[in-house]
Amino acid sequence: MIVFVSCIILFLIGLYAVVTKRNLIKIAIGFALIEYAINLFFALVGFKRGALAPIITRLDTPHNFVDPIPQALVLTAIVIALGTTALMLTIILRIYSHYKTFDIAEIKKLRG
Amino acid sequence: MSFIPMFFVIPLVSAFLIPILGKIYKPLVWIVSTVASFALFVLALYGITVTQEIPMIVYKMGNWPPPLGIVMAFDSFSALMVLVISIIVFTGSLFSLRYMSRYTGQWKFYTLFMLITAGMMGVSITGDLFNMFVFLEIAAISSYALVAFGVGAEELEASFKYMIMGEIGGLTFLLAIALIYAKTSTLNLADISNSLQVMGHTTFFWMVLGMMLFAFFIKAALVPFHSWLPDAHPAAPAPISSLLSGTFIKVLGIYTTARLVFNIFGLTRANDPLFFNILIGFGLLSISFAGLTALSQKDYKRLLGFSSVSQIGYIMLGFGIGNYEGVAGAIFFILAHALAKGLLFLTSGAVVHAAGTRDLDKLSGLGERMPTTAWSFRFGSLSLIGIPPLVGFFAKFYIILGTIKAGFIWVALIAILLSVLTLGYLLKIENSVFMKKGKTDAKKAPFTMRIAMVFLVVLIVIFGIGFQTIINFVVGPAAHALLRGLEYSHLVFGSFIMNF
Amino acid sequence: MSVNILGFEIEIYYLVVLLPLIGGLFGYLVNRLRTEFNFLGFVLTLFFAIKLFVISRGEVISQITATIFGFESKIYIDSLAGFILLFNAIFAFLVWVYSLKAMSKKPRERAYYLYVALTLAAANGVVLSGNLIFLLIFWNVLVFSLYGILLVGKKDSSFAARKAVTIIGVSDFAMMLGIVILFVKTGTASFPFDPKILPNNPWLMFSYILIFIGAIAKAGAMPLHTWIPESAKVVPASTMAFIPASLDKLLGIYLLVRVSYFIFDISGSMPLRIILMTIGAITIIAAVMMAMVQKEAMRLLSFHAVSQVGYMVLGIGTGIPIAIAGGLFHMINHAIYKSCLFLSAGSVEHRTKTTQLDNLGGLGTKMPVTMFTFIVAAFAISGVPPFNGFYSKWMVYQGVVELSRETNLWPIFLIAAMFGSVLTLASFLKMIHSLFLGQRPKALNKVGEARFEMVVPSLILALACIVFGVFAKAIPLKHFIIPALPFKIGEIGFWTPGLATVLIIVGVIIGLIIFLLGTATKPRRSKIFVGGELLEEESARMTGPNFYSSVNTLGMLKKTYDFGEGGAFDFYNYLLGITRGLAVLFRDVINSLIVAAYKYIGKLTTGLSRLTSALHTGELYNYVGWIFLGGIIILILLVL
Repeated sequence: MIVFVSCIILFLIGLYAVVTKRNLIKIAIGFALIEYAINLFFALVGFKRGALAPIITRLDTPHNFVDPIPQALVLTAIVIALGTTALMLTIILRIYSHYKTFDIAEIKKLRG
Repeated sequence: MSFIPMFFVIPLVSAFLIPILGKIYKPLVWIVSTVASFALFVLALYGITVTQEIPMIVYKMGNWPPPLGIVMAFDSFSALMVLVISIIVFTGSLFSLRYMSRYTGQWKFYTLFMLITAGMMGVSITGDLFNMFVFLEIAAISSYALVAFGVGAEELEASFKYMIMGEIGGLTFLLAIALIYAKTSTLNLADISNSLQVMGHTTFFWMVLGMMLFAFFIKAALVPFHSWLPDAHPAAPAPISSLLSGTFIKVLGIYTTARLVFNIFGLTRANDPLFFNILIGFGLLSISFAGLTALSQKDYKRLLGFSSVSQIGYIMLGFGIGNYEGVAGAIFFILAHALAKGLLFLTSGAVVHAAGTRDLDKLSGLGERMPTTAWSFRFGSLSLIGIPPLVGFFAKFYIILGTIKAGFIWVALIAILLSVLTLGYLLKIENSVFMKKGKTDAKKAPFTMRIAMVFLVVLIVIFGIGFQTIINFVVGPAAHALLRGLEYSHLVFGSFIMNF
Repeated sequence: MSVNILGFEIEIYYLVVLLPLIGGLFGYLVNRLRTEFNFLGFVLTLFFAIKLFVISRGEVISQITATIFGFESKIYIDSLAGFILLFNAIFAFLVWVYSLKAMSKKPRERAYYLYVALTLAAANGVVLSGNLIFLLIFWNVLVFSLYGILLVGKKDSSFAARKAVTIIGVSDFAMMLGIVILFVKTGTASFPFDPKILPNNPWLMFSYILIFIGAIAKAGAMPLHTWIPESAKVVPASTMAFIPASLDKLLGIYLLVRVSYFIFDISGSMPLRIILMTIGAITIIAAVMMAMVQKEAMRLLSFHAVSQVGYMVLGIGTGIPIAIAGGLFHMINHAIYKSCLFLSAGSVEHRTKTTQLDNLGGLGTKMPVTMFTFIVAAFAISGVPPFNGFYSKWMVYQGVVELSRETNLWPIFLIAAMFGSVLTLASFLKMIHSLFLGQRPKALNKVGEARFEMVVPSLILALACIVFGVFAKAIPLKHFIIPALPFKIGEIGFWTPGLATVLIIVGVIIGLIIFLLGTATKPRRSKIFVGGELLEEESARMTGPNFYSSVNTLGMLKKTYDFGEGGAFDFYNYLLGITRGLAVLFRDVINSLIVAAYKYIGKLTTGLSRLTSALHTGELYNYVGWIFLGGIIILILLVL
């Protein structure tokens, strides 16, 4: 149970960073934290105490594997997160070259 | 080989072909994208005809049976979405030839263009929750990049804000998926639907639904989740604005909401009036708030962006009504709004291409210089305002009819009254850009741009005049597909493999 | 019954609406090929109308083609509709042929043809509709096309057009209301009703009267007639021949018959019949009295166009089968002779450039064919045997006499009808004299016969007057009228056309003999002196218009005439008065409220708009805050 709670705490920390931090890089880090939290949550969903990795070597052994699907999903999610984070960092760098600041509060040309 | 996976295979393959072919011969990139999008259009029409007879076509990826493998479930509602996407993608691609000529790195544009198409197509036809997330992210990431395509300060700012909010939505969706998987141990939509029914309407049920609504409302840009849209849509190149406003928000926000609410969570107006009233509330809020805001905009595309938020409200209102007329009207309005708003953003592109600015105060006298653009704008806006016999009228009419039939006379009156706002802000563009006399050295739009606009105008008129046919063969079946509710899962499990 | 066009199966009844429209529209767009396109449109319409007529003789076409928003759009063609369709097409074609010369090089010629085609299409649409609600749609298209065609005037006709549209529009509104009441009370608006509605319930009676108002406004009965004389002065003769003289009569009376005997059954309601007959009788007398003192040819004819409607309404109002048949027959006859009259008078106008009777005269020798057609039609309208007008009027009389079994009022109607007929003859004698006989003003000495294209339609119509009169039983009654009505018609009259024709021929011969005897003794011709001065022959010319001037100086009648000319009977004036009154009310009281409201709503909207716009500050954490606020609201609403 404690792992689930800490997973949610991690999620909330990430969310906190996204919502309150003014530095663009920190916001990106916040997103990374959220992603980790969700990935961790996925992995925990499929976890079974004492079970084996889901690799079938012999058919006659008792089947006590962890659920393989979340692991596959986490892999996919990590790839997507990688893409997002890379794009986000790229854009942050380009923004910096235009605005000369990382402060989100000063990046408000589009308004009204 | 079934034709279903073609919907995302074609754009994906073209997306990877384009960089390679672009190295060989530059104009090929446009040709590939246009041919691919036209193929999608034809395929979508074929899809419409096929779904006339078969309510649900299931394609099993890798031939794994439904609960185990990933399935594609193609029904009338998917067919309609695919048609809408392919129309806007096709016109956008046509339009891009001359519009994008001033940008560098065109192959990147077309690659992203095809990727976003693949993502939207995938979302519309998938029958698997995680698969839906993946396609949704493919489309979303491509759209972040496309919004920033101009790499100016405003484009980057818009893209960043869009990305932050979009990712908050996307990650919430992922969390909801994780929760659902934890509870039901399945990702197949039909299977989830069955498990949720067994479980009943518990707190967990409502919480997951709430998280998903949160995610999709961000994608659909309903007020108060809308603030990224008026930044992002104007920042993108015009064909992309057209695609984003015309289809993107509907596929990622509206289609997903409707599909999950009606078919997976199995809610009906009769059983869960509160839930549907929430939809109506958000719909009305969007219509009024964004409509009002649009009135005081000074930027051509930003105004249209707010207009999209406002019009999305009508669609949500229609789904919130929940009876046949309301749902059919909402679906019809997805089509009508895609055509109209796609067209309006294309005209904005033509204006920017010719005059070099989007500022309504600086634009003038283009009505005489750019007659095709001006008339396209007029047709698009008349359809959006709801003037018969254009398609927008019949769509709005159905929504209003549904509202009245459901007994929400006041909602109907408010919705009708608020459509004055639509008239107001579109007249603002008409007056300053096209009607006002003024000196300008703008030339008329290039041929391919005009073709793209005229194509949409023709569709607006034809769909309007033949609205009965559209209702009977396209919109009606789609509405029935939604209102079938939980039968969705029976159809997915029950339908035998179709080899088309 | 459908035809195959380019691989599309199209039902004929769509074609009679589409073809004129297509012909007219293409003609309008491609001006150089206008005549060709119009010709194809009208001729093909005529062809298909004939085909439909032939089909409708044998079977009733009744099809529900679509259901839109719960209203069924129904096509219903029985023999009544078939025969109206046929004559719509015939008249449109004839008027079109006539217009080719009459309208050529006139201003707004292009629009004129478009509106003629549109009118025909909409008129056919009215006749095809088997549902009053869809009928109403076409009916309203007719208002639009009427406005358009009246705007194509000889001189500024905008006032007349406005007047026409106001009157027709208001009566259409009444009709719409009537149809809505009918729909609400009975749940359907598709005819024929089975069983028919007996208008005994006050709502249904009200609904009937409202629809009736729409029908007679179209037909032009009093008191809704005033736009007809108004436009007669300013629009071309062909327009008059096409719309008020033929098509509007066909449609108005068609609707009247439909409503009176296919939807309602008014023969069971004496009060309604009395109302109808009274309106009919008043229209006959009042309009013909006005016609007698007119000094302008077109205006005179237009008052007759009103007067004759009286016979139709009277005949239909009697509820006696033979008189109903008579009314219907009179409608078709009227369309024939009145368009013939308008066209002939139009030919005269085309040649002489005037329609003032004072300036005309002695054209008989110059325009013999026109004179012939005019005289035949004039006799027909006056009810002189053996022309068609006589026969239909006779049937109406007979019906009124049969009415004696049911009411004591019948002599009034009979006298009104017969007296009206006499006055018609009198006023036409004046007109014939003024146009074709009498002395010819010098200015007209070079006038020649009208052009071929203009003479032929008049001639065809004149011949139709004769044929429909002499062979009334064998042709029009047998083929058009009797099958169109849903009841058996008793034996008609004791008049045999053969005998009458012989008598007439004898009369004509006697007249000729007297004429020849008269010319045998030549009158003495000499110069005119007044007070020793030699007068110009021209100034002593005897003109016709003042034949009956004495009537409007007769004590009581004088007042009435003054009222009439002053517009006291003009429904339009009252309408205008009411509207003005309301307008004052609006301007002074309501308008100021609206202006204030508009101003404040405008300010409020702008203010709100600025506010919501200012909320978009461009700061990301604001936006994210909104998002989470929304998310929390959703979760609270759903979970709690």
